[in-house]
Amino acid sequence: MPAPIRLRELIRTIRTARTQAEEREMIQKECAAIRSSFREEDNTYRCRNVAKLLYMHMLGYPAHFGQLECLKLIASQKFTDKRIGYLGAMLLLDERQDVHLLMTNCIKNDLNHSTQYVQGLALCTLGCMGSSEMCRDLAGEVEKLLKTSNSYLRKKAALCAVHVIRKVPELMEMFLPATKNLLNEKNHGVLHTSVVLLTEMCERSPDMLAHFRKNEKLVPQLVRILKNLIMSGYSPEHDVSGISDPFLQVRILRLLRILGRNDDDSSEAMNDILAQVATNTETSKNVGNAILYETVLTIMDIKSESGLRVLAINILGRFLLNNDKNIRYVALTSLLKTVQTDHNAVQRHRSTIVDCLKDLDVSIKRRAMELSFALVNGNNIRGMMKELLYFLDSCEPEFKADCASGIFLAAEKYAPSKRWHIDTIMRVLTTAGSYVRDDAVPNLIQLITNSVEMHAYTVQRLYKAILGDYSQQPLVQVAAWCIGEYGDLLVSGQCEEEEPIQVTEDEVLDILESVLISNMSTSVTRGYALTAIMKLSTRFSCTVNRIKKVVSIYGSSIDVELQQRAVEYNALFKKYDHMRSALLERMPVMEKVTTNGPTDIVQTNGETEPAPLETKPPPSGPQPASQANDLLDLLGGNDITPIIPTVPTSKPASAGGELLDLLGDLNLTGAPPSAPASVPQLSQPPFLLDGLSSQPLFNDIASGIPSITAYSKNGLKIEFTFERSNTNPSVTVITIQASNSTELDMTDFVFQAAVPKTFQLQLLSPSSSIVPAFNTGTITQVIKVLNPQKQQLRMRIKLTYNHKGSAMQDLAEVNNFPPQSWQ
Amino acid sequence: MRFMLLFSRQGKLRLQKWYLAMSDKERKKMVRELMQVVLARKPKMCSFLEWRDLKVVYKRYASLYFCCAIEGQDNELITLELIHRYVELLDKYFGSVCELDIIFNFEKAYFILDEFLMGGDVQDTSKKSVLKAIEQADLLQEVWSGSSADKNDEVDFLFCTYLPLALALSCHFMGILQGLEERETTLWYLFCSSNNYSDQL
Repeated sequence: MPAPIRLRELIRTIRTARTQAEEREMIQKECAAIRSSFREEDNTYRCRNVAKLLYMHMLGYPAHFGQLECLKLIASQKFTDKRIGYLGAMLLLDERQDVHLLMTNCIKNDLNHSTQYVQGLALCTLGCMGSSEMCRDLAGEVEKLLKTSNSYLRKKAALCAVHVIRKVPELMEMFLPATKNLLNEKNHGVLHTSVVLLTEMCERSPDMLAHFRKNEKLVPQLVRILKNLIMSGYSPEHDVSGISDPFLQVRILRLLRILGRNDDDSSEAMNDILAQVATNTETSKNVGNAILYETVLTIMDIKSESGLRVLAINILGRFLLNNDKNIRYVALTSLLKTVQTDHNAVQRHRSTIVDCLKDLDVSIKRRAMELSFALVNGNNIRGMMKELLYFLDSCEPEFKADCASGIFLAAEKYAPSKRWHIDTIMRVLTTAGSYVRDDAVPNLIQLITNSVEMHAYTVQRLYKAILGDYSQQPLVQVAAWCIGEYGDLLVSGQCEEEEPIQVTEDEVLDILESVLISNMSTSVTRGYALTAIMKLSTRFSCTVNRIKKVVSIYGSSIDVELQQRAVEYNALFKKYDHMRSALLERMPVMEKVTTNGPTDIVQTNGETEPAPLETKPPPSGPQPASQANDLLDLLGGNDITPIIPTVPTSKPASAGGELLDLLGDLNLTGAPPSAPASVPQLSQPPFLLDGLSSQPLFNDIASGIPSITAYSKNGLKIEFTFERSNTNPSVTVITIQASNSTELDMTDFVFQAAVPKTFQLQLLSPSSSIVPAFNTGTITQVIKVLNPQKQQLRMRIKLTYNHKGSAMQDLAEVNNFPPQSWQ
Repeated sequence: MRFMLLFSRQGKLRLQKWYLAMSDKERKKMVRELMQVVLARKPKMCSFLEWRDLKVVYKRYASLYFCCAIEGQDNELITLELIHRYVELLDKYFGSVCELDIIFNFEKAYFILDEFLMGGDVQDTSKKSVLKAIEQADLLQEVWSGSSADKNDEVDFLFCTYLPLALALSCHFMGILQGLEERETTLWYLFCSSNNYSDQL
């Protein structure tokens, strides 16, 4: 059997392979040779074969069949074997393989070997990849070596102990006695690794931390060592660019940070040395800056005096002006951490930070952007916004979304005027319109609605913006919505803030139709556009026919969403023309919904969803659902929540009769009442349905709640009867019955109700829209009220109907709810 | 430190040292991803980047990228110094190190790294001390192999200008010298140059 090919030879051969396939072939051949060599248990060349295997493993080829061979090498007496064996173990084995446990005995023996380099190998391997079981078994050996006088072994044992503690934290106590004299060493290696060990112990266990602070007087020791490092002269062995052992300095500073955190005494003891390091360290090279950086981190984290903190921030400020990118990056990161606590100090460096927005490096730009947003306040908002908008223009796409959101937030908090706010938003929409987040559109719409005096100006600017380019969806959506709402202002040229433009109704419809047709518009945008066109039918005077035509065309659109809207709007034109103006009225000023905090009650003010919700016309069923905006309009005030409109079903008119029957018979045994049958299947808030789905709704009526007469006027009487849900005590179900004692029927009867903010209301479909005369029948309708805070029920009702040839409408407040209905 | 990688501009891995347990497949995936990210960086960019939940510090020396993944509280600037120290050690050991040295002597690069770092932390801050330890361990390789009875091993006698005291005192070495014939002993000098001593591998 010829000697296996040498390692360097193999490497040379593999490198000559010109293609991946060629390389694979060579590797496979060699692997086969190695395998057979392993099978022959060849001791001489095992080392060589494993080394070759490690090379092939690095190239990405499988090498698991060498794992056991590594163990054999470790067990060998030859140093080369051990060296390669341990290397192989570290590269090929890890705690997932059971094989690794076989190493434990070998390592134990080698830890007690007579040659320190063998001991070193064993410590290194254990310290890099030892599993928890191995660590548990061998911790005692490591602890023994931690106490040896051989500094070569001591430093390795310290780092090995760090690994043991990381794997098996309970063993930390074991190493405590050995740490007593560690810092008395002269050898820097031992000092460094000891500091690492102490850091690990203090970080992991607050008890240890307290112990080291008080009993061991660690802080003075560390201060002394650090002082020696700084004050002592040139030491060639540890010098790096004129600084003595920077690695040790940095580690000591880090340990001081942990010791001084939240502890006044320790912080006090290190104030001087920190100031000394901060002022004396040479900053011309990276090394010095590394130490200063660590010092700054320490100063900011401990309870340092204010002078020291200012010194630290000034160091960071100087870093910002450094030519070296890495230093600037590090400064920005640290400033970001401190901006909350030392806001004013950081503000002083604002201009430098803003300059960093123009840096070429992506990481620096991101940091600068985050920091800039943190520094915006009422005083600097105008200047900062200019810079940030310029940044938004020129930055990479990955930043635009975050930047846009940040700008919106800042503008919301600190806008000096409404006009400025709207201008800023316009600017963002036009420059980064496609990167704006989805929730920005409804927020903006809300903002625009609330700036009443700016409506004309806003709609004009938005119109001009999309005239040129309607590809940016959020911009187009907001613009479409505004034009739909305020198109009349646009056409009549009422703008005060700037020169009003001359726009005809046709031109406005042109642009909206282009948006509808354009391939760039998403389905959502098209929906906005169609609704806007519809709304203009009440605001424009000359072009109603054109609008009708557009709407009817889309009645056959492939897009289901558009089709549905168009069909419904068509119905609005045909059958419900009398309601059209009411439905398409101007949106009222909205209650402000905070973007961040959770709101207890969901305010469905219709604007958080795309337009169709609030203008959804009544379906072809016999009864309309209450319209949110009409209600707000009528009942005024911001403390009334709108009703969630119900999806109507085609409920047979006799259902009301069944209900009456049920009540009349006092049927208590829980036969599922018919009222739930009238409950629509879709899109109802689950809490109200909870009481229905499994159990009969009605509770024991015998112990029932008295009914009340809510309204009685002009022959129309409305009674309320109450039930409480068994499963959900906050739900009250009110059944209204409307009866008519006059001689003529009341037709087109619509009942609407509103409740204060702390309640939620749901109206189900009424039984019919005609209240027959002479009390011959009633209209029944079910209202569900959610009252989680168990407050007294109050309700305002609005009634509209036709009677004796004229339209009647009335408003009333119902205050006489019996206590059992809401307590 | 969580791990250190060395790779070339073409995306070939030259060294990988992992200080955390992970499956081979996951490691390969991470290496591939990280290489892509680092190789995509332009020359003027800063040496730090955020990747997954780690901070990555990288520096390019000639055709090799040295890449370290550190944790949140580690100091990036001192990691740059650490990388530089490792390169200096390699340079001193190989004499003006280049990528080829690391390719053909990868196991020695590992040995040096394992003498400098353990578990991700620096063992010894003195360059001289680390190099001396490597040197002596290398000698131990040679001395031991010289004691092998296997003359077919093509091991030449090596020449050296001095005999480190520590090694002389090592009983194994004494045992080896005692075992040899006098002629061989007088001819036996150990030559301390890593490039020239013959390979057992």
